[in-house]
Amino acid sequence: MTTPAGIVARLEANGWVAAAPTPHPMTGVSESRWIAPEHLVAAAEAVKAAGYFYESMSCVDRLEALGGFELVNTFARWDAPARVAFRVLVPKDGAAPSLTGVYAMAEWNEREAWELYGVAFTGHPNLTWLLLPEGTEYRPLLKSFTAPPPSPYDDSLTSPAPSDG
Amino acid sequence: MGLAVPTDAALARMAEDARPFVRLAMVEDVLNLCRANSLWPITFGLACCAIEMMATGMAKYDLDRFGAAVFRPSPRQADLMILAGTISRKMAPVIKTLWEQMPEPKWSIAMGGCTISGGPFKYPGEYAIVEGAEKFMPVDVHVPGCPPRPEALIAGILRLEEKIKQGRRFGLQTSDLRRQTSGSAGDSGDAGGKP
Repeated sequence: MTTPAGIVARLEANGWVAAAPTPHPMTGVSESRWIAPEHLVAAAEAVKAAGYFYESMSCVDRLEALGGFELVNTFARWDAPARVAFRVLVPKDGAAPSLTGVYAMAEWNEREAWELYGVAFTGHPNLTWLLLPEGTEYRPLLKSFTAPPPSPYDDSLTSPAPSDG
Repeated sequence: MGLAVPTDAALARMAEDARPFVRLAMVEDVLNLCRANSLWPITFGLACCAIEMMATGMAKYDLDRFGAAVFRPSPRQADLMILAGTISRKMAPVIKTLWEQMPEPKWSIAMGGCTISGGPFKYPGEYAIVEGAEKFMPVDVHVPGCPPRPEALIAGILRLEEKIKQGRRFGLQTSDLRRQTSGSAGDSGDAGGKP
């Protein structure tokens, strides 16, 4: 039962997933399903046991439409077509479960989602800035984000050296 | 061999001439000639321009011909920083530290559009890129391109060597002098003019 359809069928038997069908020719995703946040870790364990690797996790700002962030966790195998996407809706001030306990590679993806969108992850060992300078307050990929604060490097050479923050 | 040996009288006259001053101009010229022809860049790449920089150092373009391919792994041993690639706000303090760790005299080349002005990342609302290396450190030579080809980087290094030989200032190039003294009126010296 390592096919995408088989995995999803088993999770559906547990009542864990909801349909979010995606046409494979358009997206390359064989099975795409909504899943409740509390079941995400168990679902990741199931796909890992079936030989899938963690491909990526992308975050979408759905605050206006759905009132939260959509996390798309993608898992795949090399024997095509085998790609599974588990979508999780995280409420605005809620937290998503971290997948770092299952796939260590999830660590950087989740740090990126945290620093660029402000999505919190429970159980992440090192939730800190990855691409932006330490101490950055703004969340640049939010749809409500318009303009960043001025760069500390906007002044000429004569100004005092910018701090590392 | 026939080295001309100055007479004692000539030496005495030279010493008399030199007495009021400490004359180091010639020494500086010789030192600058040495510096210009043995640039040691720091091994240091930021983004895609670094790939072209590496190609410049490899056999096909052979930066060793100009004495500038001794890439040093430590800023303490380097006297040239080739800024090859996009500078993010997170990386800028690191670059500044490396630059300050390099001993004087030192020079820098801004390679590619990103380190000159931000390049393709200069737009309203940009949040993570420093728009040009000159926001936080001095730059001697700018090499435009996205990325510049190895020939362009070599041209930049040769230009820097001219600058070093002339004591940190750009002067007339020997080619300019030759063009002026050849005295052909109407020759503006534009590259790409009539053959």
